[in-house]
Amino acid sequence: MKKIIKKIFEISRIISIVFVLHCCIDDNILPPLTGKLNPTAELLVYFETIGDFANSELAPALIDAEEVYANINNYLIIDVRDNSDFMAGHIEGAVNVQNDSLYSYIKNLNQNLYPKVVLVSSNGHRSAYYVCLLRLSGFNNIYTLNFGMAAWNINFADEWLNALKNDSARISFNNNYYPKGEFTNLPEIIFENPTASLQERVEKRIESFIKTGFTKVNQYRSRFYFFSNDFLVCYGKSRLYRSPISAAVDPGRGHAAGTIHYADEQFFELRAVQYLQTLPADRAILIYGYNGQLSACMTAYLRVLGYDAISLEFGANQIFYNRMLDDPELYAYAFDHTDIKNFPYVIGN
Amino acid sequence: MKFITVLTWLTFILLFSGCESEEIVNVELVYEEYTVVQAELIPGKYFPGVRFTRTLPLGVPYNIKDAEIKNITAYLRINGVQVIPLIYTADGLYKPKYDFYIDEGDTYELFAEHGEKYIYSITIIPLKPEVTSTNYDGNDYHLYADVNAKIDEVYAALWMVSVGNAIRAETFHSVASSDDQNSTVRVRTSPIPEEFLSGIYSGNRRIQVYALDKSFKNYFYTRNSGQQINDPFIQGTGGAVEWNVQGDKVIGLFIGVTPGDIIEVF
Repeated sequence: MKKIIKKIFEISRIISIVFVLHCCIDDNILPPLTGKLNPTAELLVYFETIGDFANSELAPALIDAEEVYANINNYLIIDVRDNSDFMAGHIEGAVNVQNDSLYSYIKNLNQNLYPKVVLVSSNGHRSAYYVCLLRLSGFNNIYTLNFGMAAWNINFADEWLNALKNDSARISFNNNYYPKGEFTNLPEIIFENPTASLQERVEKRIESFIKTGFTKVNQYRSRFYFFSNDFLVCYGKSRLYRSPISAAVDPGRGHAAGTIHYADEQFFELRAVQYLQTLPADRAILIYGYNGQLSACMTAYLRVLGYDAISLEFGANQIFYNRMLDDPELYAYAFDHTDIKNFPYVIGN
Repeated sequence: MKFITVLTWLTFILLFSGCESEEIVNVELVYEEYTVVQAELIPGKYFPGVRFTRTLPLGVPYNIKDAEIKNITAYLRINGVQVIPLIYTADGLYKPKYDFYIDEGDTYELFAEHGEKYIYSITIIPLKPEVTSTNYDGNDYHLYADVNAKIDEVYAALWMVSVGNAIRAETFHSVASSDDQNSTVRVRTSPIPEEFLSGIYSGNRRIQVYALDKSFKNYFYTRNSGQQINDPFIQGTGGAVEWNVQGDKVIGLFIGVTPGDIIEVF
């Protein structure tokens, strides 16, 4: 009998434990949702919040040599070339700032002192790349000298003049339309400072890209040629992509086989809401534009987003220069002697 | 041994009573701030944005300037891939910088972060409802329609009369759904008011069926219990309402709605 009573006690004690534990667990509260936003998506949110510069008509924030010359005492001119190039000749009053200190220089600048801040490079490509990065970071007063020092004086224009070509062996070129691919996931990126605010994370990332320097391809044939394994992008007006059949200069020779067109007008097709995510996250993306300045800017935008994008220096000017001169829609983007202003410059410091 | 048994029992009684004390209902409502999320996605129309607001303590007059949340990072993801950033505009409304159309059958996910709080929701935009028949019930003057049902959708309907300007019901009467794919469900309107049954309105009756993401059902019935999303009730704790927005102390509805054709009912 005692044993039975003891067993009943034991059983009731176990039941009590289960009951007590059960009533202590708050079954009304669901576990809170945990997770993190996609860092690349956060970047897109940040860029669009501050104006989406790269995908706007403002890009690449060109400023002509005439305007700079007329405002030489008002504008801050930052020459981003190597010191040896700077010493060989620069715009009067310009300061030489290398890419490894450019971001902090701009950040510490009292921009209210200057109506405009102008970045100057040899040919306009590197400065366009940095300007785009700085604009994406929220510095809205920064411009890039159109065609760089080449536009300032003939003594700096050799590289540009030597780049103007018509690639006669464009065997694979055609006027076919190659459709954009399926939408794919954004590249995966990791912020250096993941616990910081979004603005701080973006600033840090952009600073590191400026420190790394400009990524370019300077020779069309080196990679932008037929049967390339890279993803070829033509970024510009549809006329840059498809040559008018009736043009006597370049009939039906629009672009290399497989090149995909993204328009820089009306809907700006590299916007997130458009076709940004039809770019592959796992392949090199080679971009050419009119003259390499806008493509440098878009390269900056895409690289920050995690894409392996590379810009073609001099753009279509080194692929089908005659077509650029001949087409009224493209002519404004062609470099020629009328763009060289032969303004005075100073040598040394 | 007896002593140990008694001691054990005493411990459990104490523990038990301790747990019980947590269950005492405090009649005084304790204010807890909730994040309220609202968005309605209609195919063929621009995405209208998502509104993020906070609940306010009971007794505080509702004012959007006090309720809006400005510092949210948010974006949409379409069909599991395409990311669309959302940007604060005004009154807690976050919109895409560039307009885009909502498409039938597409999946839209909302991702947002507010401080340490993470918010997520998903909705599938229903296809246009397939109405197989309509009729008029003269007993309480309502219209009804039979609809080919899909399991992820619920259906609701509004009556409409039209002489010159269209007049329509302001709210759904009920929602109908089915657990069987491709079965038929009947959905009805609220009764048509008497003034719209005779005279120039006589015989002029129309019904419009709406297909909604299935999470609307939960919202509809809790809302009808006095828990409207814009209602100051939400300024309290929000209760254990489960709509379709996930997150800690988050409540709301991010939902696809597809209106069907307006059909005349004879």
